[in-house]
Amino acid sequence: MMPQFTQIDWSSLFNMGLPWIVIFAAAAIAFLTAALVEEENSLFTPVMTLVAIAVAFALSWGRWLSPLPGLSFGMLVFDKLSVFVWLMILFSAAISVLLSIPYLAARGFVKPEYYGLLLLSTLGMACLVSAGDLLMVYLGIETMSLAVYVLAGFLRYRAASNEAALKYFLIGAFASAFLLMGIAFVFGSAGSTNLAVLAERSTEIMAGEGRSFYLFGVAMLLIGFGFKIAAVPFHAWAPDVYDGAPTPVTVFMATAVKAAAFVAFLRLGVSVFSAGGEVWITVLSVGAVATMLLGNLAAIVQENIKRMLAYSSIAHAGYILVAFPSIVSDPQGAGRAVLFYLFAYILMTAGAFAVVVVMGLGKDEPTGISRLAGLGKRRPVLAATLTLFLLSLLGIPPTVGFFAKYYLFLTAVKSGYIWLVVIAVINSAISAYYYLRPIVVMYFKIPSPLVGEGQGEGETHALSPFIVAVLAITALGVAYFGIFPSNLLAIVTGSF
Amino acid sequence: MFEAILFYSLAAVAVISALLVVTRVNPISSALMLVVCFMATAGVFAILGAAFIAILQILLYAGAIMVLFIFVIMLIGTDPADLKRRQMTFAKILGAAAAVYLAIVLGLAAWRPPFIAAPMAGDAFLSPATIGKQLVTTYLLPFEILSVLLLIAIVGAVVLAKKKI
Repeated sequence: MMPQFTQIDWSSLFNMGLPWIVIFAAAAIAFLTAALVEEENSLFTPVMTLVAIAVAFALSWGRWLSPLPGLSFGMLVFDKLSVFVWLMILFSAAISVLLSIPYLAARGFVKPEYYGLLLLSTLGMACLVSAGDLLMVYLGIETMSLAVYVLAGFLRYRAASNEAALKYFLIGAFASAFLLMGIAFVFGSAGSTNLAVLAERSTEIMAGEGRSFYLFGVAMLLIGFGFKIAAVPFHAWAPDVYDGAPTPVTVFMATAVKAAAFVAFLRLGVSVFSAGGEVWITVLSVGAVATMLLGNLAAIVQENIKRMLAYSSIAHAGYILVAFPSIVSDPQGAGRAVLFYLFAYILMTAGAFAVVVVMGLGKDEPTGISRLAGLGKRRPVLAATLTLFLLSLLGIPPTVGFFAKYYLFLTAVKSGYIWLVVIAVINSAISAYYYLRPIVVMYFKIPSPLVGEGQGEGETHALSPFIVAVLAITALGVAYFGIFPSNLLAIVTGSF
Repeated sequence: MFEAILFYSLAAVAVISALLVVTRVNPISSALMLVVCFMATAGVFAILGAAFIAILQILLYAGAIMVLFIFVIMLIGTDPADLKRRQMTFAKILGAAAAVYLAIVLGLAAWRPPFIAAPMAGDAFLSPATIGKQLVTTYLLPFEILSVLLLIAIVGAVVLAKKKI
């Protein structure tokens, strides 16, 4: 059962939660800056945010390296998994902050609250990935999402941004209702919301009186998570929200929010899927196939690179779901494959969106694919990095994207889901069409000035050093882990 | 017996008023139906012995939040005549059919005697003192996170709504 109040070792909890306290303190400073300081356009808040993220990262990194076993406080579990994912989240948050600096400056909309909300959202994700109890899962999701709803609508003067925020908020509230309903049914049938207790007792519950309610409750939880990870048929919000939100926030949603939700989903799956596996295998594999197919087919017809990446993000959620049925028979292998994929996915998606930020540095957001025409001549390095990211998203061998897909599909094959992997590989082939198209446009299409092709407004400026930093880090990561995947594999193996 | 009658009548009122909330065209009547729904739910809580939650339900939901709802509806000032009539579409019929099916499945699942009677909550259980104590002991961590959540809500509302930030 849950540890009693007096049994909790508060000093070790403080020790574990120190990175969170650093993040919260930085968010508080950001809000106070917003209230007290008149000066706008200053670099103080973003730099302070980056320092706080770096401090939290260093503290957590030390925790990950230490050989001490994981600690459970009932509500929160600090093990290698949660620390590792928290590191990934901090990394995506840092990338998002770096991209935000030039993006917001170009729009004259520099507000310290932006960075504060971003930090508090990562705090919610920390709770989500460390949750040892469904109550904490719910609170983590709410804290994470509420901040992102506001960030999605942060550019108040843009109608698309408002639409994105409202749509995300309404859908998110709807998803929360499913989650809560699911938690209520699980609690009613199992008598506990603690994931460790659920893992212990789920076989017994599935055999007993409460079976139907338990199944119903977990199904509701699946729907709730389905919305958060944008799996078909709960994906409809994603393209509009990704498209309308400020691009750095889109990066944050596509990387950190998705990783946090997937890992919480993974934790839930490891706890409850072992009992009554058949049901969940069917549901998850149907979901995976539908998500891959719809994401890839819809991405083909997109003219806007932001929307194309949104649909590609749905398709990638489908690939990750391919590993989920394996949780039933091989939770460790599935967990590792998912972590590897999430890490690779964060690197390549963040990089690809960073190029979109460069394209859209003007007042309007010219993100049509035809705008890329001639980029290979005007900006050879930028075009080469975008090519690298797109090839990695496609899964071409010397990039990290290939090995991520390889380990994911290998896990599924080992557990005997060969048909699922065949469908996934066919989908990868489909995705070649829309990933290669921007490359073809960049290098082989001559921009025609009549229809305003080429020369996105932002392209005439020199690249901001912050964007260069993001591009360099992500491109190096994609290339390095593509050439030495065993290094990343070792990290992932140590985490799960 | 008396308790059962009370429960079923309150539950029926809650379900019917909830249905009316989503089917009324006029938002004001929807809001008023929601008050009825909250009141009936509060009654169910009271039957279960959770008097404190019943009172909170009435004070917060039926009271404070509903006043806010009605204020917003009146400030926006939608004319009922402007609102579109609800239309039957294929998706809606499909959704309704799925909902009815799910309700029947759940009902059949529950209809498996003997019923497991929910344990009656004692007087000490769910009293304000117990809830308060639990909140700062067992549920201290969620309580802290909740305060972060509220901070986000306040800052977010200001960021999105204030004229000049």
